[in-house]
Amino acid sequence: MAGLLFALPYVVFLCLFLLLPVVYSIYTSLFSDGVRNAFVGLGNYLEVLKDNNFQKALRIIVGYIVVGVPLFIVLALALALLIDSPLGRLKHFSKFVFFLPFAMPPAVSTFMWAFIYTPEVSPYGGIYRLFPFIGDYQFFLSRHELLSTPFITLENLTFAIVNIICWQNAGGWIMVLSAVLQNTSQELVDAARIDGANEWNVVRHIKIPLLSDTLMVMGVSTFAYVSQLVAEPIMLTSSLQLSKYYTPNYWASTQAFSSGNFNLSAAAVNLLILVVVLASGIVLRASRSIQKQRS
Amino acid sequence: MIPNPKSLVTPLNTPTKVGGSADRLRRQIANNTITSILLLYCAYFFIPILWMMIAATKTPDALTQNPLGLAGQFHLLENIQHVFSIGSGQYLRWLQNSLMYTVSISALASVLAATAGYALAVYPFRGSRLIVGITLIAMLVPSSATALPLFYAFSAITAAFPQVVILNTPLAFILPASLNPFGVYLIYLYFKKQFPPELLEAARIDGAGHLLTFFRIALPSMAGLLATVAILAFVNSWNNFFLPWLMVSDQNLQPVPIGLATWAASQSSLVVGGSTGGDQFITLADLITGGALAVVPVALVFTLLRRFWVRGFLDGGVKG
Repeated sequence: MAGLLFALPYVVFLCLFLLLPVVYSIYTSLFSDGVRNAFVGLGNYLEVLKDNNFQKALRIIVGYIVVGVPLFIVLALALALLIDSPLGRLKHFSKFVFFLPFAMPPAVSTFMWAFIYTPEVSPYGGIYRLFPFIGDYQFFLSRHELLSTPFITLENLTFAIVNIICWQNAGGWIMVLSAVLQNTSQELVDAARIDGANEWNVVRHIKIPLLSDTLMVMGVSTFAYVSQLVAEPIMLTSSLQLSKYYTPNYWASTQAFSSGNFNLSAAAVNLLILVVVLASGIVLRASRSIQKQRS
Repeated sequence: MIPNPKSLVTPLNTPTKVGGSADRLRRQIANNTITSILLLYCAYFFIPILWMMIAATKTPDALTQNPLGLAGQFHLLENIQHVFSIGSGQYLRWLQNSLMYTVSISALASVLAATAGYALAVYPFRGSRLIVGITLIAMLVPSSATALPLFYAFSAITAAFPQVVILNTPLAFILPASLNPFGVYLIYLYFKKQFPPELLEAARIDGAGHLLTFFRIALPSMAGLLATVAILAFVNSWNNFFLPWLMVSDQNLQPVPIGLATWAASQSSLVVGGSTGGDQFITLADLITGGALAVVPVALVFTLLRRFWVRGFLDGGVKG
């Protein structure tokens, strides 16, 4: 009884601000034209999936997942392993610097990168001005053209935004990965080294298996973050003339906000939540069965 | 900085083959390669921040004419003054809002985590395992996924009861953002795995009631972990974009990130020149200075207290 009383505030919050909204969102998605009107079953889901803009957004987000998630994991893992390796110097300094962007509000880092992608003000664009002769060779663009050619176009936008995500978030995970390595691996690693294992074997057969659980959690949360991608595109919409249907989640909020069609919006959001819950369920189960195999 | 014990140990443990000057050379090459890769990435992570900090000290003209160089004259204070003057102190109001939101959210999130995490671990009741299960799943669903359902629900409440307005008030952001399943799970794990149950038993035998036990024994022992929860909630809510963007459309109630995005959006493309924000021009320099200022509080909290943060992650998300 005391337990329930202590837990009550949290349970109320959980119901009011997570469970009920999701239930309501499922309920809304089954009707058309507001809640009171016609029941259409799964009709809204079909309509969402048939929508041209939504299909385009889906293709775009799949591109982000395919490019972004592996790149992010490889980057964070590689840097954490380098920091943990016995060779090389400046480890503490690097870890600190890698972590700095993680403390920045994404809103700030997104438009900071937007500046860096804008040739007129970019520090990297400034390099062209330092070496004015670069533009004088005919097979290069002229200097003026270089400065007026935007760094990002719709073709490489995926990479531009993935770069922002990696830059922003890698440091946090590098901290976590290297803390796990430092906490757990010492005796095993020392023993392997005494047995004459080289660095690559230590990484391949000891460190990466030790990190497997952490890597799975990291994979799921990166996947979840990227599949719901919405804040960065919203911030870049006006400067890049992005479509307001650029990602599925953006599609859903534009439906709700601009068109006022909560039913379609809810159907799309439910699909997205379903994907995230399924993915995390699968990965959690896989990690549990791996743990069982090991013990 | 505490010296890394590993750097003291490994040279002894690493097998060194006798008489290998070629080996030593190889080792040196590996050493230098790794150091240079790390430095390269330091540049990747640090140059944008450095550039923004320098840019915030430049005059608006120097910013566009000399993007690479250092400031000709130190113009930071004038830039800050200008940022604060736009729209009769718009930016200061956003800062105030952000502070009010983040402090309320981290206080509320800590209270919820402390009471629920403790109760779920120490006094299991009917349905408590289900709540732990829901908490685990909720941890993995990003807040941007559940923001829109909240928006529908709040709109529906107002549609049904016109006098109950939640959208576009501070509560529309504060209440949902205070729900922090990760924090609850951290405290739950602590009482489940690390805290000795005999202590609570002893208190009970001494006749202490539930409330007294909680305040005198449980609360002091989880204080450090609660700091982790509060820091995480502070940083998450300071940085949160999508939820307040949906919930608070009144400019006078918005937090800094949303306000800055409005300024950025008012620039048709991020090129030179400016556009009107209220009655004054918003220039590139304003945006950069405003952005740099928004980083300061959270960077301070995060960098000074990052040990708490890593500890929280290790106890909860990774080992659990």
